[in-house]
Amino acid sequence: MDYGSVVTRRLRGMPNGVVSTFKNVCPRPSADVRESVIVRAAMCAQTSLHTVSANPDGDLASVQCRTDLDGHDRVTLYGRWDIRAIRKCARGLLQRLRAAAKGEARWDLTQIKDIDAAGATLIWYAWNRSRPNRLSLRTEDAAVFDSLAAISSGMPDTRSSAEVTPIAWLGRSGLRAWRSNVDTLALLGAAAIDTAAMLHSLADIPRREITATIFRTGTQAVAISGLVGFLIGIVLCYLSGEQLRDFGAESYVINLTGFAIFRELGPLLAAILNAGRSGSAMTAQIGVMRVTEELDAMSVLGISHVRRLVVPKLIGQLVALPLVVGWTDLTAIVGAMAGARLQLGIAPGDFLRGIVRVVPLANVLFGVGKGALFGATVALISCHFGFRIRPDSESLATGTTQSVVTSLTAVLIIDAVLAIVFSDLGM
Amino acid sequence: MSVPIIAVAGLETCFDGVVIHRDLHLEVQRGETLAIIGSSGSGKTTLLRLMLGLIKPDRGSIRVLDADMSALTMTQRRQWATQCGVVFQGGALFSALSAFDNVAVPVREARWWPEEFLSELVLVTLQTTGIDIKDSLKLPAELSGGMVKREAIARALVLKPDLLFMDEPTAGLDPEQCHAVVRLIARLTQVFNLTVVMVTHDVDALSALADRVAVLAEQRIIVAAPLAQVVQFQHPFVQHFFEGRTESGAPPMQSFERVRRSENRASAIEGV
Repeated sequence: MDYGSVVTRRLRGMPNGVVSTFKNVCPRPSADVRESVIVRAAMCAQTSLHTVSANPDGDLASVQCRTDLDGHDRVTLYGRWDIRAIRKCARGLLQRLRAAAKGEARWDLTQIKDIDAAGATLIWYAWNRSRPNRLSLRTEDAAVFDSLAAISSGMPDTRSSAEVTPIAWLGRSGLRAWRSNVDTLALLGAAAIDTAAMLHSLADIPRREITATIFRTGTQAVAISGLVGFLIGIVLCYLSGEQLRDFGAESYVINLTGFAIFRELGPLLAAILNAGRSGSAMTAQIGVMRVTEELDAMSVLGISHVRRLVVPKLIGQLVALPLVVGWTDLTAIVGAMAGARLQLGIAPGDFLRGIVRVVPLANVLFGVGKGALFGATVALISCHFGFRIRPDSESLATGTTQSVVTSLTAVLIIDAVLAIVFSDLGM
Repeated sequence: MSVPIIAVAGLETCFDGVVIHRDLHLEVQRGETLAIIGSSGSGKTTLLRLMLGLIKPDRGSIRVLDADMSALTMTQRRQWATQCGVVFQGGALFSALSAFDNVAVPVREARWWPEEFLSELVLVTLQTTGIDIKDSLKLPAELSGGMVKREAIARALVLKPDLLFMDEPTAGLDPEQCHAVVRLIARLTQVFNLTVVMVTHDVDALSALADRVAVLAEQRIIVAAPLAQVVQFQHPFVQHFFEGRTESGAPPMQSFERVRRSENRASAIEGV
């Protein structure tokens, strides 16, 4: 029997829309599909058939549309409707379902082999997110549609909260920065109080933690600070020497590099390296302790976070960073000396004697003192941001970045203020 | 017998010269639930990690879902990952992502489902494991231990895998939550027609879920059989593990019983 003629015969007397639906949706059926459609049509003598897609007897998800003799459409679903089976044709299936769902159709889902959230979602979309009135459903499949109904009524708002105007953003950022400042100051206060308390009972001093900080901030930074100092010394000497030679004032390279290194470059280079190395490490350490609940464990054991974590870092930095500044000064001077010898032919001995003669000791002490101040600043800010980290990886990342950026900014601001206030010191 | 879904043969693993597994053999058939038990430090979790291809064995072969786990390329691994779900002991949820996004990760990575239909798929999966939609935007840190387990199970099952690995699925939960999670796993195993491999200490979970129990001791699987047979097995660890329990499974308070008995013993000694 010819498939086309059967269907056409069945379709005769139907409204035009139905016929066109069939023509648009139904792909050219293969031989076995043709067989099964005919058998099915023959078996359901009371129904007429107008839409078929894919093989209704296989595992493939398929939609079959018929018209019962009472004039109602009946949509029957066959095959497997789980994500593994339908992932590649989700949109196409939805289109077929939507085409079938026009009007008040009877839905028969009892022939489905397997259905999961994915398949149910497609059917749900075709139903326009509400259960049709005439629906045959196996009891074990009902739960997933109940679930979908519950979701449609209480879908959470996945969009981010209301848009923020620039003024509100500015205000919020300002407030946040202000709060951060206040918190950091409070941390300093708490650290001061705890330090004072520890001076009362010397046994409480966390020696091990302090020496550990000194080791990390000081000893482990020797190589990198030395290298950076030496290279900057050479660069500074070469650049300024080139300019000074034009004026025949080569010997002033000693004044220039001496002042620049002892007053500014030494402390700043040490502090910048310190913020990048030790500051980020401190923030990450405290942050991870939050993630692994070590901070809570300390609280429960009655160990003060400030006393055990902040004060040792603060004291360690206060001790170690001035030493690192001294070391950086030294290597930078050696670098400058080498530069002066190579470029301008100034003997190392003359260079050193010149440095001692022209750069008053006050400048060196000022630089080293700044080192201590920078060390304390980096420690406080790093700890502050460490404690603000929430227990998730994203927060850890932003917290560490913020900590380093804020430490660097604070160090530069403090440096600028000190440069203005003490502009005539040691000149 | 059909081809096993997991076949471990002649496995040998060493860490820093310490032998963890020696000549270990294990087969898991499609559709069964296998529980691996063993004393702590016996290498149960290591065996699980070996099956997942997270560590390489020193000798022997591990085939899971027809793939040789020690020679997977990245493409094969991605393909393999869609057929198998893993529930880690601590959940291993992505801490920066909400419950919703955590469950969406496998679907988005596999590019299996259009984004416009994704929210229903994920929310229904979350609901299947008992997470309310109002909690779907919470971060893992804001969820309770039981919820984290449920969310981890949802993430493992969202791609409808054939095989599910679980490391201590009931660890760290209160008895009521344990019970609920065990029931959930039992239901899902049936609904999803899963093969399950789990490492557990929980006798309730064993008796409720496991078709077979494999005992890992002396660096190998000393017995792998249905629970009733394992209970009869003559080995100090097995005897100790099932001490004071009936053959049919475990009376609910057995661990408490054991503690109380040892306490009695202690007080008797003090009395002397």
